Amino acid sequence: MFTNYLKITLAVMRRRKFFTFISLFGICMTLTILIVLTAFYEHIFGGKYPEVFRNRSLFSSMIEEKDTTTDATRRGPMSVYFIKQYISTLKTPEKVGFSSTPNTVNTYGNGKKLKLYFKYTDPIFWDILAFEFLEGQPITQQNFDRNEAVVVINDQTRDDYFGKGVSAVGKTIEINGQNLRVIGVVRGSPITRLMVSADVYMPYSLQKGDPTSTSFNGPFQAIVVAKNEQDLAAVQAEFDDVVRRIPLNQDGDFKPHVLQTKLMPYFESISMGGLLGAEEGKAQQRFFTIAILFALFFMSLPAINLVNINISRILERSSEIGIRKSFGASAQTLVYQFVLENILITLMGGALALLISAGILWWFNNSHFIEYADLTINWTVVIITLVLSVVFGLMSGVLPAWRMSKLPIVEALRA
Amino acid sequence: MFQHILKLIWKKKKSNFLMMLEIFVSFLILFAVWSLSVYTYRNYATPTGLSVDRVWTVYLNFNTENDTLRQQYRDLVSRYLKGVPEVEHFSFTSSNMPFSFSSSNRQFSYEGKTVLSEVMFVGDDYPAVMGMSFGPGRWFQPNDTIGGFVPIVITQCLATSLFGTEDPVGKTIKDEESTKKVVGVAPYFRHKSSYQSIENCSFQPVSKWDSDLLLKVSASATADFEARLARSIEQLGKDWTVEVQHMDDMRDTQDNTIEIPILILFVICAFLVFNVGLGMFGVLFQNISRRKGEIGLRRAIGATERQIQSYFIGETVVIAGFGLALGVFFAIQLPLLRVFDVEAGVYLWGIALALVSVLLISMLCAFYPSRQAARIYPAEALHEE
Repeated sequence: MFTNYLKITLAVMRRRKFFTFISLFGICMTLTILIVLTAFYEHIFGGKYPEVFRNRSLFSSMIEEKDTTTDATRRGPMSVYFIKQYISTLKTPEKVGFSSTPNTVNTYGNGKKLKLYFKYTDPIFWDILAFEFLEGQPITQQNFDRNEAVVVINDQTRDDYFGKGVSAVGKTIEINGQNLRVIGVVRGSPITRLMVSADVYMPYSLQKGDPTSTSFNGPFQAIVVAKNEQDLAAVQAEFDDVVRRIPLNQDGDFKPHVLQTKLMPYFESISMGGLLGAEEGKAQQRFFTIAILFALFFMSLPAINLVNINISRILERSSEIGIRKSFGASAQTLVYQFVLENILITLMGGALALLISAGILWWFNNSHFIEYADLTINWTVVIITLVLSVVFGLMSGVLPAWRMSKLPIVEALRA
Repeated sequence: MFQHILKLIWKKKKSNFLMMLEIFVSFLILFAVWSLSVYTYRNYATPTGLSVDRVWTVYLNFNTENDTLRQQYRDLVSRYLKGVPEVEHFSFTSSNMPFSFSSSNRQFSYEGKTVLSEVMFVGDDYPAVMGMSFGPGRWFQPNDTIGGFVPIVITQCLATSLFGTEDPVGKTIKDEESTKKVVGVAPYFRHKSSYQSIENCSFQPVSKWDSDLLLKVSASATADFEARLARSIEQLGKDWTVEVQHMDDMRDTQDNTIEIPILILFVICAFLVFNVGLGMFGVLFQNISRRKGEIGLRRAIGATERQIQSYFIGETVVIAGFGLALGVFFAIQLPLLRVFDVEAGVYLWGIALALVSVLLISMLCAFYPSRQAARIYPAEALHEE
């Protein structure tokens, strides 16, 4: 029986190729766009290489100091001093590492200018992140103890500076007027992972400026890894408590009364959170609500289109329904057949959409538009949208079919 | 004729309702896209008031907290740059230079009115570096700070929001710190991206914090010169960090952050509209083939091919008209309620362009099916009945 329906479906699809094309195009296009957009979302916000612990990580926000009499404020990332004094000493987290905010430097190797993103890091940064080392090793506590001028670079920088595939460990690279010895080469990560990705990583001890400064402001961000996801709230609470008791720095011209800073999940910690009310910690939920509403609005157009076409097409098949009825098919059998047909078309559209979006993502990953892009298909979204389109298909196909199947045979045959 | 069309549409209100709904939603989407395009284009077409050609940004960090030391370092760099023939003009600047990702805002007040504006702290040669066009007044000079007031140059936009139509030159305005005297006005200064709308901006003499540089270099400056320059500046001090960026690259980066989302939006909308067009085409085709009898009858009693064709196109336009009327009703609320701070003209253009495009699409989709209808032979059509 099933093969029979399959045959009928294919025959119907072949008979009116144009209509088949419209239905398939609508389903396929909607799914493709949703899959590609969610792939971008995953790429930016999902925990991927090398941030495998992102779901139990918290990131430090800016420090905001406020002079309440004049409303003057000072905002910025924090110093090593602040992190070591107030974040590394927290008791609830498993590990606390830190690195500087993304910044660029030019190096002029082999007569050409290279623009490099650099980060200063501490040794724990390398414990937290699952970097894949192509050669050499990460920056360790030993490098700090001996105050060594070392650097870890990514494969792109190695290829540009030393030549493609040439081993770089032990060689030197000139950055900011310093000659640094390469001790490791990592597989690079896309620059969209702001907290961890860079072209060159140096120990923070190489940073220029006064190392004994007790200023709170500097270019650093902390990455705090909790023991498990349930502990996140406890870590945040402990830090909030610490922040309340921090003595304020009153030495300069600027005399702040209030100091605010928080540990936040990734989504809230990057700037977008501010727009959506990061303070209440609900930014991600709000973003999802807006995104889902937008997706529904966007899907409504192809859905109306599908319903419209299905309704006007069902009349075309009234004679077929009439004949099947006159040979004893019940209304139920007929509806069952239409349901199956709709599901088949939807699945075909879905399969096509998967192929096309896989193609688009493959093209994007290889286009060097964003280096090291690793976009992948999110299967949850694929399944949800497929289910939704089947629902639309049913709504548009079954109701008219049900009505048609109730039609007296004579009339159905006459049309 | 119109009444007749209405009557026929009413007879099939169920299937026509879906078509209207489709047109209504497409109109809203196209309205949003067109309004955004008009808004962006209008901004793009306004003069920028600055030129980024051969302008280099030098991020220079002295890595010291000492104010007197910083002043000495700045003098040192100035003396060095004056001796470099490839550098035509240079100016120190705060870190929120044009097309950078940082910004710094302040509240200015004048006679009880308070306005928020970007503030850049820059040197005396800044207009020459940025190729700025200049309105009434002049740029500040080294001895301007002595009179007790801080000199300030403001954009026309800020002048209008503070003083209305009064002459801004010579007026004093206040911020939290001190009183400033307006010495000049720049008609335009769109410094965030090529697509930025006209916003408030102002310029004050360099403060003790600022150490970044802007250079206007001669046409003979090469990458090799850039490397030499960066190294020479670095070697002037002990712990300095230097990074050179070209301002046209910085502008392109900023423009990309606006162009790419708009491009994605365009592609998505093009697909949506194409999809809707296909759907309408299919439904019209189906409807017309179901009305063969009616068409045959019309032909038999003397309707010409042309009349049949224009009748069906007319019917489609009327259905579209209902959807559009509803759409315009919602769209017009945006300028009426002033939801966003955008000129009403942008919305009106958006509505007009969306109207035209939806009508064009529906007429285009109705054209082929209605021509098929017009080709029906009355004898054949009536024979089938």
